Amino acid sequence: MVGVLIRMRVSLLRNTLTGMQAVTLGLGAVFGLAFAGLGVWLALLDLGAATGDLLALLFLLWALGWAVGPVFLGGSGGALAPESFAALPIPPRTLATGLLAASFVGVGPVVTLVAFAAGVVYAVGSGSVAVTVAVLAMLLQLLVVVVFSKVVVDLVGAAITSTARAVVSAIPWALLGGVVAQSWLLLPLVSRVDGFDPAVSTALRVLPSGWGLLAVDAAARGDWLVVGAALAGLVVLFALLLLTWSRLIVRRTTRVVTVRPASARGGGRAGVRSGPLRLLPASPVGAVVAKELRTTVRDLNRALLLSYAIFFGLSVTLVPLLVGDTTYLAATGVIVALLATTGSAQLYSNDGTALWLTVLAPGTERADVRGRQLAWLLLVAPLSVVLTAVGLPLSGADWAAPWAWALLPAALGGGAGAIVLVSVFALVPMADPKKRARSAAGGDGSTGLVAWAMLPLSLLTVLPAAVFPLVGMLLDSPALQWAGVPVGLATGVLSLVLGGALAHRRLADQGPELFARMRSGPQSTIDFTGWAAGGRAPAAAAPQRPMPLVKASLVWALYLVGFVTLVAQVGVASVLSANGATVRAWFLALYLPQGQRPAVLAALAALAVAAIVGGWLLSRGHDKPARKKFGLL
Amino acid sequence: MTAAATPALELSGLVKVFGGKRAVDDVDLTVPAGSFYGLVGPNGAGKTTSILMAVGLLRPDGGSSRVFGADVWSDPLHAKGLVGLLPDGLAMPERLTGREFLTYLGLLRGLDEATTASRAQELLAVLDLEGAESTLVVDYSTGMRKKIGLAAALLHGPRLLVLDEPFEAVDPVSAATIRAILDSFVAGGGSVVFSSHVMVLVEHLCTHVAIIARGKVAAAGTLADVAGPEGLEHRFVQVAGGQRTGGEGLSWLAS
Repeated sequence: MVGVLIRMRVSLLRNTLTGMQAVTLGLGAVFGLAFAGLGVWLALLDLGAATGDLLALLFLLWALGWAVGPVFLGGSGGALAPESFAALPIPPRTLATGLLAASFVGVGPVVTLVAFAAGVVYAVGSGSVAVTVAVLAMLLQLLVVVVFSKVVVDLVGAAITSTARAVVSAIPWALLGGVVAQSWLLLPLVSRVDGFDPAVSTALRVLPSGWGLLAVDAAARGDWLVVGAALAGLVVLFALLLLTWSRLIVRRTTRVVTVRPASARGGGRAGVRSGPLRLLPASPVGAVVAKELRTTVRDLNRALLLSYAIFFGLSVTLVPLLVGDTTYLAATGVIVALLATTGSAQLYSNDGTALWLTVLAPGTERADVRGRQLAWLLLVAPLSVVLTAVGLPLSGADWAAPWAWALLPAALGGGAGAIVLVSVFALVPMADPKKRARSAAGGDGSTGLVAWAMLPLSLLTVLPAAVFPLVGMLLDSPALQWAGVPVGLATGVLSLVLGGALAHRRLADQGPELFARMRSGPQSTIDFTGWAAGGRAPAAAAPQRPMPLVKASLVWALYLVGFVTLVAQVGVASVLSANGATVRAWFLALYLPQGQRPAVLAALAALAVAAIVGGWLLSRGHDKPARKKFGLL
Repeated sequence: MTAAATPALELSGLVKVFGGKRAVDDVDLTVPAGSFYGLVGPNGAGKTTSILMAVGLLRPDGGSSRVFGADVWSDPLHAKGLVGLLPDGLAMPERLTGREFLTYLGLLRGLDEATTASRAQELLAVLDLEGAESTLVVDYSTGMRKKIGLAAALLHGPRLLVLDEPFEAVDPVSAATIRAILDSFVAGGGSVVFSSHVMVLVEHLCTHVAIIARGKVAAAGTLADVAGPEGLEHRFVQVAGGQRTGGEGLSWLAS
């Protein structure tokens, strides 16, 4: 049985390894391996007691990553669904064991195994018995983490049955994201020269993610009672989780919902144009706005993504309050507006093949795009304006006011322009809403990738608005600083108008092609030869040069390495260096004496730019449709 | 040419190639105004592909499609205003109720508010969807989806209805409702093209029929001409190349 399930999983994996999905998977593997390598490298360093603490922290992050990842990235896409086996005479526990074994076939478990190898490396100095204990403990840890992820994903998926629950369940994940994003701020709070604060250090080992390390440390000391207890604890935990999961499988396979209760409230004969939505004009644009607002509120997927983005923005600015830093509050509105674009990066793909209605209703493309922009603004703008108005005085950072009020309109307008632009130009086909198996668990990984690619794009749209406040601050001229506000308004309106215009023109010209992609996934080549009728120019009459998968992955990897190096290793490291921070973390330059840093930072910047330009040059040699297949423009 | 002589739908030389396979291979078809036209053919014969190209949802690799003389690809605004489509298996705005869907679609198509509201009300009543006032489209049954799709196709008062498998997986009661509406649409001067692989239904409903097999029109004309003395099913199996076997194999089933 187990063997058959594993073979099924391998076939599934092989069949899904195409195009964008393969790129996402490859990227995930690269990132994961880099993060895993960091742990192994930490274990090799001689940091004394701090090594154990850092590893315990890393293992905790891995466990949390396994819990959070599949819910929001839809990592369970290629997994075998228990429902498929509901009709077979297999006992649930056998099925749970088999499915669990099959789920170890994949990139995630392999990468995690590499990460946990850090525990074995850590034990090497303590003798061969400690190494044996470490190997055992780390394997057990992997088992626990994977089955933990299954249980969490099933529980969360089952719990999210209404919009309200979707919104609420986004909060803990967003908070977690905020803590991770701002961890470099929080690190000084818990770390001391000789390791973490003892309380934190203990807490990290009391949590199951630290039990493996506890066993290794105890083996090094020869404390066999603790070794036995820790390992037994992991075994018992694994057994309990497996039991829970097999129960959940029984629930999933015996309570298949075939008839769902009516779910829209406020029906009735006059219901459509009642409530606050009646204020919208009875026009094509008004109709689209109302449709979008209703859909966002009722579609769990969209509600979850948007509320996650908003709560994530909030937590990024609220988490620094833990270390008494209120400055971030001034930026809350702007950050929320920027992040909210990530939840709306696939507006058309989210509707699935419903695009046929827009293509067939003649001349409605403009109304459709403008309506979607307006709906997004109605959802995001009031909130971010209020957050800015409240956050500014609370932050106590008076200097930030011209910045916030200049960047906010730029971010809102830029966002409204960017979401429709990306939704149309970087459309990643998703399954039709009706066919999405588990309502709440995100799209597939590729849509997640496009969603986060929104951030640099949105940042780009606010840059012009930042020029005046910056120059004004350098020249100490308040008037010049406040001049940024009209500039921000202007760029916001411009991005909104321009982004929308580009999007609806594209929709009008390429509607059938976009619809075809929604129907059958990305099409690499569209043959127009012999098609002369019609006024529109054939887009691609030239012979196609397909882009190989390996090359596309390489381009993406270069882009990401380039951007990460530029932002973190050069940007953040320069700020830390300038502020004389003692934290070094993974910032290479900070391991060097102050005098040598500028040269290294410059070299890193040059390398990063070279990587980005190199990636761009690599992709240029191929035709546009071939590049688009991999999400490269 | 008089209005009556202009065909409701005229496909000429339609070609669509998917990855080297000619899914639709030089299809010519003339649907006279006022006719009830059935397209029959085995699964994968190219019916849906032809329909999508005919209404302007799929750009053909060759050939043209005209609706009452208006070219779907060079004069899309005019042509698309004359057509109502009921697609098979495509998504709708799933998180809206039926009435919301029709209301927004009407406004989007440029109807005024009062007209939209009264037409939506009438369609929901006739199609027996009033009972599902607070059910979202995503929760509709297959039959209800077909009916709301038909309502959406009729909303703007088209002169030509194009229906892809309107009776597929529909219960007999809903099917009777759909048939009655189509009959009265044709009686009122409208033209209907629909695809199906239920021969009996096509023989009952249609004035004209075309058999599509392997991407080509194998036979087309009035029902009497195509079906001949032995009936449509016989002709279909003959043309589409079916083999009536099934006696051999599966020996273990009986033991």
